Amino acid sequence: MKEVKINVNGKDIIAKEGEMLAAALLRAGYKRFRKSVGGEDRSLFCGMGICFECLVRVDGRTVRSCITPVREGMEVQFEES
Amino acid sequence: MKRADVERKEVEILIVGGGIAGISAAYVFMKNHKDFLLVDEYPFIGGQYLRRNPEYQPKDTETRRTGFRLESSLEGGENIWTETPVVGCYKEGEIAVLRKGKPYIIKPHKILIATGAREKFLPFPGWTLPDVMSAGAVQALIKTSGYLPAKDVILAGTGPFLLAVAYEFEKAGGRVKEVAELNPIGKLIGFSSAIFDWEKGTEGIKYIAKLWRKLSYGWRIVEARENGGRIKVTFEKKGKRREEETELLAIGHGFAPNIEFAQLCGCPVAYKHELGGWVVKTDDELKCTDRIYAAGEVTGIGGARKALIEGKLAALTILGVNEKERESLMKTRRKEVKFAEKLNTFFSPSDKLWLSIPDETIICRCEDVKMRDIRKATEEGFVFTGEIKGATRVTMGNCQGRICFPIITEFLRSLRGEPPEAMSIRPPIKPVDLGVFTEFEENQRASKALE
Ligand SMILES: Cc1cc2nc3c(=O)[nH]c(=O)nc-3n(C[C@H](O)[C@H](O)[C@H](O)COP(=O)(O)OP(=O)(O)OC[C@H]3O[C@@H](n4cnc5c(N)ncnc54)[C@H](O)[C@@H]3O)c2cc1C
Repeated sequence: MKEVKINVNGKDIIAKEGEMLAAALLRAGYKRFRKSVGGEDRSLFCGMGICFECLVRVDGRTVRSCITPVREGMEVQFEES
Repeated sequence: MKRADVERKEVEILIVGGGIAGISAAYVFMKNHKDFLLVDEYPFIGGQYLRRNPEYQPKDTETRRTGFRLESSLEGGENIWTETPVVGCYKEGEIAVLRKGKPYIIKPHKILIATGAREKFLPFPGWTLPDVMSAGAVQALIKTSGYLPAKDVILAGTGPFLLAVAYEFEKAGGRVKEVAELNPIGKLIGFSSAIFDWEKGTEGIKYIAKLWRKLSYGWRIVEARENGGRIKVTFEKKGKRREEETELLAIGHGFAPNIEFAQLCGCPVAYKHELGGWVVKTDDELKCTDRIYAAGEVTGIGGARKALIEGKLAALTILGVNEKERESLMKTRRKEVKFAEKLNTFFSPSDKLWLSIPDETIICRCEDVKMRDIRKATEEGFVFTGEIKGATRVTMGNCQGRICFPIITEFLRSLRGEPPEAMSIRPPIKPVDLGVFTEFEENQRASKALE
């Protein structure tokens, strides 16, 4: 797969075009995507678009990163813990 | 967003879901030059079984070979819309979808529902930790993205799917520390010899040959804890406990059909424990209502081969052709379903296990509702799904109960001997950015007023 650059919370990282964004984020060392209601860190869980644990903002839209393919230049935002 | 921004499209047949079942049907329509549209929310077709990755395409079984052949003949076609979740069925026959974020209203004459299944879980304290993932997630990361999420893994739960994922994990270069099957081995051997199936059997033997030293039976997870960046898992079997350590814990306890869209369309559903839980009801030819048909996991958990057969059968039923072939497909289908019923019944947590989920376990991951809250609600006399929902907020989070409702269903079924009623479903069934949806609804009202 071709390598592309994406921006995560203001930092550029290298990802593979067409892979799922969640995989790119995990590979780059981002593991915690949200804080739960009770304040715990949560990460990717179902990996197939069902559980909503891996929600992030991409170019202003809320998406499930596990079913969103990586595209050159995408801007990704989420709250890091 | 202005009115012009919602595009309308009429089509003869709409297929919702492009897994094995959906593409099997689409192929028939294509061959018969029918006007159809297939929509799937994933960026690829092929669903859970094929999980498109051009660099990773094992062609080890006949079903997989057929699947890839269908996929490549359909892929990229104008009538294959990927990244297109179906979000609602608003008016009689009007289906709202978002194609890469852009709203459309589709008006089909007939609908084939092939929305597949998701995984089901028997939760325990610690299943919400960042290094605990579903077995399906591990498989998806490896197959779709070529990413191995850890160096070592323990897989735990029940069912042959754990073996498949363990096998893929090792093939991708990782180390499987253990595959912990809930059910006892004696039961398992008796079961396997009773229902041996050639394709599935040889697949199973391949997995076991590679993994047999790592298989354990009858152990259940008591809890998982984070420990210096790794996961400590406590297992229990007949009062005996042991602890294991792993970088990643992958869990899975079977599958549950994705019936929500069908429910929204008014299709009848029924609870069938032997088919994975709530399923869409059809007749022998896969018809649900006048204009709606269903195929694949959504009619009952049965694996890829059943989905392949059902997709074809449903398509031929819709076209009303090839009566002979339909009859023979119905026959094979009945065999697949029988096999599946045995498999699902065997590889399922016992009622006792559903009843003994510890109080402090989170059940609803979205709202952090705990087992204690659910127990309390049932003890206080709340009976109906809606009441329990009102009392605890369970199923009210982002995922709309997709993960926790199957858990609640199994808990209540184990408690009372019968399942609760199905969850009521309202659109949107998939996330829609607020702006788009309100405009969508307004647009619906506006167009109604114009008519
Ligand atoms: C995680 C997981 C892994 C599995 N692995 C295997 C395996 O290795 N071997 C095996 O034999 N079986 C496996 N199964 C069982 C599997 O479901 C079947 O074998 C096969 O994939 C069934 O095909 P299907 O077409 O019925 O469903 P699926 O393959 O699940 O396809 C359903 C499709 O519908 C789409 N969809 C659902 N809802 C919507 C909506 N509202 N809008 C748009 N699209 C929608 C989904 O994106 C998906 O692509 C697995 C199941 C799961 C859940």
